[in-house]
Amino acid sequence: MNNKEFQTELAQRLGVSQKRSAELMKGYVDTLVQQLVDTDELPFFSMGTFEVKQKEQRIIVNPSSKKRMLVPPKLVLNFKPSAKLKNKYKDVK
Amino acid sequence: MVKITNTSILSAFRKQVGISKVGEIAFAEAFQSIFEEALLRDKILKISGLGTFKLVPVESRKSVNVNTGEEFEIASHYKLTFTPDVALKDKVNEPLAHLETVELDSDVVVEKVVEEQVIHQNTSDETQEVAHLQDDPLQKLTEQALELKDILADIQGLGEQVEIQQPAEEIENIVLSDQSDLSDLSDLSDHSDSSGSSTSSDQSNLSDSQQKLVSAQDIVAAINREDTAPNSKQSKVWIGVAIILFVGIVGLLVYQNLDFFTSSPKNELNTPIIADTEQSLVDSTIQIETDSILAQELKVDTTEVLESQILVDSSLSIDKTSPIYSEQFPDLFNQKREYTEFVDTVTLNEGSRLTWISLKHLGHKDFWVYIYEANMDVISNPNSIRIGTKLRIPKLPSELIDANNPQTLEYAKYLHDVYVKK
Repeated sequence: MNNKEFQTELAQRLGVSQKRSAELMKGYVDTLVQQLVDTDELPFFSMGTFEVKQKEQRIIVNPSSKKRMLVPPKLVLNFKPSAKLKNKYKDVK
Repeated sequence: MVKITNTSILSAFRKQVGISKVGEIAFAEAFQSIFEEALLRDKILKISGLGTFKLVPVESRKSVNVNTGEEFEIASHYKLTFTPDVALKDKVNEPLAHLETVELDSDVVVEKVVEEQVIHQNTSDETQEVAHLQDDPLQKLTEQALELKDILADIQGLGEQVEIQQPAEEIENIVLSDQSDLSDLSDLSDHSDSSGSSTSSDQSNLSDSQQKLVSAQDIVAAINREDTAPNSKQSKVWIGVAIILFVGIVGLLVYQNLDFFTSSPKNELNTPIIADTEQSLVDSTIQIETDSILAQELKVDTTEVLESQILVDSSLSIDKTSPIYSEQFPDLFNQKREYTEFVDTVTLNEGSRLTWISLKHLGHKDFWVYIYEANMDVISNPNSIRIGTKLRIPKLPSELIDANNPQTLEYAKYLHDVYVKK
């Protein structure tokens, strides 16, 4: 399902216009993203948590030129599904 | 750090879009159920601004219960993965986005390690202490990264982002200064290399190297004066480190030249070695020490030396090594080493290392220098030997390869420096 289908579904369920549901979606996602910048753990309803983690710097070797490079540390966003959701999808066949 | 809950997110959301509390709850419920159903149906869900959620199949696999040791099978199932949008990914990484991949020059690192050894051998306790401080540049970077992490955590707690740039710039500066130090080092080692080769190549360079020695001594004096000034700030530590390394190199230079002066009367005896390819035997490094008892035992024969000199003249073969003589070591080491008896032959294959062969056959990896000495006719550069080369493992007097005697190890390291620097 893509974003547009999600919006349509949401509009139907809430009984609001497409435009309004798109607004709501965008509003919610924007709120999430704003919070993400300030914190490194963020709940996503009961579906899980978003986590910001720091990946340590590491040395890589270019296999063809054998040059050693130092890759700097970086921050990445992970999603950790809740146990409830995980179990729900485990049984999907 | 304040823990953010669903409630706080939703209240911020309510303010932003202007929705009633009832509507908000309805939205939350609808959102969750659509999310779960969409994933069940399509196995993929894209939410713009956030990313893609995907159900990925995991194949069944065997596992073992760690408590009972029983084998059991983990059934195939789906797991939920999330890939953030590029925009979101960049936003999350914003505090560290300015960091770039740095290329490491491995040669420089190796040189630095060798020079550190020299420092440990030649300088006083005080300088050794400082040399310990000066570790691998990588480790420094890691420390910086940890510092940065701490600072970031603090800043994130306060919700301020502006100051993040500051420590990052510091890191860059340190990286830069590190690199410049390294380049200094390579300059210095070039210098010492060139002078080292000039001393070993020809005696006519003696006056030349004397001059260099004088200038080096001047520099040492100048450095010592600088060194006594108080180094309070951290930035000065770098200068200190550079100075210490320089002192070490100058010390080595002086040391090599000392060899020349002290042994110059004997130089005629001390000269060449021939790799006699016809007999596949190496008349190796010839070192003569007059007072040596052990040397007498091994019957150092001056006529043989003369013969070999004649051979050198007639065959015009190239000297592969210079005699190694040092007053620092006892007479045991400063004697002629002949490699006529061999205990084993090793054929090099890919991944072979002289040090490993040495560890296997001679009991310690530092004794590779003797294998090198015994095989100088087939090894031109100990750092790169052709695959397939057959190496003969020489039979050595047991006191020379006594791994429990620190002096033998020290001497082997000294030889290592001589051969590697050559």
